[in-house]
Amino acid sequence: MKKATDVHRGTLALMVLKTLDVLGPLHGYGLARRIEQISGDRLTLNPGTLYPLLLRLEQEGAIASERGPSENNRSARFYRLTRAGRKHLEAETRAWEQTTAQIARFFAVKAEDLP
Amino acid sequence: MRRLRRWLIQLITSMTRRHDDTRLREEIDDHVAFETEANLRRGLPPAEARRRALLTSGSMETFKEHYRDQQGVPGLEHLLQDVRIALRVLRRAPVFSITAFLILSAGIGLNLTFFHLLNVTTLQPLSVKDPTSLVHFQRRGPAFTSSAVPFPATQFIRQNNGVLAAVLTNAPSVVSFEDDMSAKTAVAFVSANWFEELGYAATVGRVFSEAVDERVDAAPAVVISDQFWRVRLGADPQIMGKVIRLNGRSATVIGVAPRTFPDLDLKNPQIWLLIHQIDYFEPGNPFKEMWHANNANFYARLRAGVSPAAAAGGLRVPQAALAQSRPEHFKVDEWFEPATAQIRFLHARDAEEILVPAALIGGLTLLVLLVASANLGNLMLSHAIGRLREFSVRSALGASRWRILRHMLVECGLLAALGGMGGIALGYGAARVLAAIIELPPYVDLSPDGRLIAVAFAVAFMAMLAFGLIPAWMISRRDFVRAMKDGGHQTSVGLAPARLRLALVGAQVVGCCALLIVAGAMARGLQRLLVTNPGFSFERVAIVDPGLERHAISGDAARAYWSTLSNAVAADEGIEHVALAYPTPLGGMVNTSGYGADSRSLAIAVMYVEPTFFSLLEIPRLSGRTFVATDDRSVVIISRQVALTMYGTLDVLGKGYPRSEPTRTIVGVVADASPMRAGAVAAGQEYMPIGRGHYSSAVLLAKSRMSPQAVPGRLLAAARAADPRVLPRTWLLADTYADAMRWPQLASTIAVLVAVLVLTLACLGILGVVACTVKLRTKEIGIRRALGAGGSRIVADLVQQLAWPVAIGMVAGTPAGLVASRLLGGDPFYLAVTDATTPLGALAMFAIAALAAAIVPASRALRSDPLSALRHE
Repeated sequence: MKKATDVHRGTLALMVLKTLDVLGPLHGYGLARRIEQISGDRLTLNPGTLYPLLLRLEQEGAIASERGPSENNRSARFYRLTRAGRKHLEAETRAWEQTTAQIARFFAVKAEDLP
Repeated sequence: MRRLRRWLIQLITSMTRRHDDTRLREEIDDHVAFETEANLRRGLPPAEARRRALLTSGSMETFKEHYRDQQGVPGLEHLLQDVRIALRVLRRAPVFSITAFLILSAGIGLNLTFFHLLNVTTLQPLSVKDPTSLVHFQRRGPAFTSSAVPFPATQFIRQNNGVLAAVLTNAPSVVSFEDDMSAKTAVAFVSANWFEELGYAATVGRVFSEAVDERVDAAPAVVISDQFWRVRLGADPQIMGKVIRLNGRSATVIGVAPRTFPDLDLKNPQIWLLIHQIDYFEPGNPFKEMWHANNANFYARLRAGVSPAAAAGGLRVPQAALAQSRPEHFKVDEWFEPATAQIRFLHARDAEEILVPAALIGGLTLLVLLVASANLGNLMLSHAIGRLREFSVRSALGASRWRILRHMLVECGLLAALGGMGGIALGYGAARVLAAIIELPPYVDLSPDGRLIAVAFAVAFMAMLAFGLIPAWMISRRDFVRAMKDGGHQTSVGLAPARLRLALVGAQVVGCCALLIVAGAMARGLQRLLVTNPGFSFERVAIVDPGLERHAISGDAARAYWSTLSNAVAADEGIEHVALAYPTPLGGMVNTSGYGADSRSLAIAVMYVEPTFFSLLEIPRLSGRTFVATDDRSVVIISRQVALTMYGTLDVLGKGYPRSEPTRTIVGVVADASPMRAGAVAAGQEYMPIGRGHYSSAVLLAKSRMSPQAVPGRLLAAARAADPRVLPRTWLLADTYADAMRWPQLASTIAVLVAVLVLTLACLGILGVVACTVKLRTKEIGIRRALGAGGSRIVADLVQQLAWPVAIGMVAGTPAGLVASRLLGGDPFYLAVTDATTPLGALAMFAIAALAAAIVPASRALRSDPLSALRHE
């Protein structure tokens, strides 16, 4: 079983932001399940990692939270992306894409390709 | 920006921790509930569903730990935790904490007292308007320096220069207030622009104004000090316009100066009078026309853009004019030397005179700090060694070396902060007490100075850093695991800390010996002053000074006045002797002569006296005769010291004086006495018959048969009766002597107190080292005793380790102390270190104290039972 902490540092925050961006407000448990689901169950999110991260993101102003009723009528804290969070996500996404593109070029390179 | 924002949020949230804990718990509960529901949906029984949910979500404590790392400011968090732990440690070891606190406070407080007083009296710029353009001019020539200038010269310069915006003059004096002729009040005659140029207004009424008060027909007006107003006039709110009598002359009080109004020369005048009205208050005083006397302090406000050096250059023009018009008073090669209020009018030469002893005393106080710090280092090391086992346990429980070192650092910092605060409280408190004892004028601002406080804390932290950190670092390098195994014994007797402890002891001994020698010399000097005969008898002597010069009574008139007064006083049944003398005995003014190779380093004070002077002061005649009425300037009487220095023998009667270029004949030799200056060392006396030239400035000494208390009053009346114009002053020589003794007394008392403090510290250090060794070697001592070793052998072994550091410290400290006490030998301390007994005595005292401090804990080790010592773990 792979742990969320095994993914690259900082990427979990990106996953959280992206998930909230795509799916709209979610509560913590739902968010965890969704991320696991999107990862094809290759990630298991430890609550001890997730909730402190959510708090930190909220403190940074990237997300906001309020309590509301869940789908089965339990009360839960719902997180949503803020404007600042969206901007942050866009910037991070660009940076990530650039990095992966660069890394991909390096992985793709073969000796005969080089002059 | 994001970082800052996050940090701020974390700072705030770290303060609202409880709230966030609740929120975290709520989130976890929600999570478990969701998970349980999911498990139920998968068909698990309720109990199992909840159990699994709890398992997967982990423990609440782990969450909290994780959450806190995300949440608060970790550095701050840990620091606060360390501070809490350090406080607990310090509370648990009260003896250690209090000792460290006291040592640091004493070391810092002493330095702070000294530097604070030096700062407020000498270093701080004067608190006057624009101190950089207010200058004091000294009169200088190739061979002389005078801090004052003839008043008419200042007025000439005022009219004839292009560099000064204003000329300020000041002449201190004393007056009698109302009808009390015997008590004198300190006053200052000042120019009318005095207050305006210094930038001060009155608190009540007004100050002098050039426009109103400088007119020739201006009514006599005075400004009184805040102190005088409160103490002498009962803070009378109706004081404005009130007429008071000074020297029997009426004057109108026009205002009260603020308490903060400074005197430029650190004097404490109670009343300010106008300098051009000086002959109104002192009738007949030719002050304003006296070209031959340097009688006024000369200050000036520079024109805008003129530097002090440029002003001095500009004054060469009026100076040249003065040299031309009054060649008998002003020479062409003279000049006026400026110094600004910014540097407290400290001319380079005066600065040297003040700053050299100041630096020396500063050095000694710093030495005390060094001793205190070294002591602190020892204390810290002992404390840390005593806690080795604690550190080992903590290390075994997973505390990193850095964490343990950090704990000790925080303890050091905490102690430094406490010690700094204690030092500041002690320093300012002692400064205030001292200021009251030496009667610093009330305008001297003793309020704490931010820079000094900063320096005090910096010194505290530096001392801690230097002396607390080294032990901490050494301890943190120890092998804790081994320490745990052997109970801390092997590790702590490891060489490095032991050597460090000895080095620290050595440092303390150096400082202690140096200070003991200086204090010993001071105490010895004081004892010599107080107990031994000053060479003359001052007990029943009263002096009257009619101030003839101030009343323009000179020459034959003065001679006539003296003969009238002498006869009147001598006719009094209660008076045994009368004698005229110049200058005034112990009056502060000393004329010294040097005769080059003849007198070598001996400063010879010159006195002009009447023949009865010697019997009056009971100065024994060793050979020859006293003066007779027919003697003129061709004869001289010298003191024993002069005869021995110049001729190497007392058999000098009839010889020419001085030896190489004789101008006079020696008619008598008298015993050594220093009626000029109390306790002067290496000073000789030469006496000449008093003549016409000195009558106007001479004083009359009268020795009573009985208690002299009533004599000044009778002298006063007689002096007034001889000429009603004069405003005489009278006093008892014994009072002057006691006054003169105050400084050396105070200085010696402080030195002895400091020396006792340092000796205590050094002994404490030695005691600590031996006690610590005993504690660490209890087992070994037990074994040796069980095997039959003698007690004295064990004590000797324990004490022996200190022999080298103490010996080296004593050898290094002795020359330092000798040099310092030699440098303090002159004005104003007059230490007597000509004998070897004082430093040897100081060293012996130290050696005995040190030995006692070492033997006490060592012999305590023997009193314990060897078996229980062996059991001791």
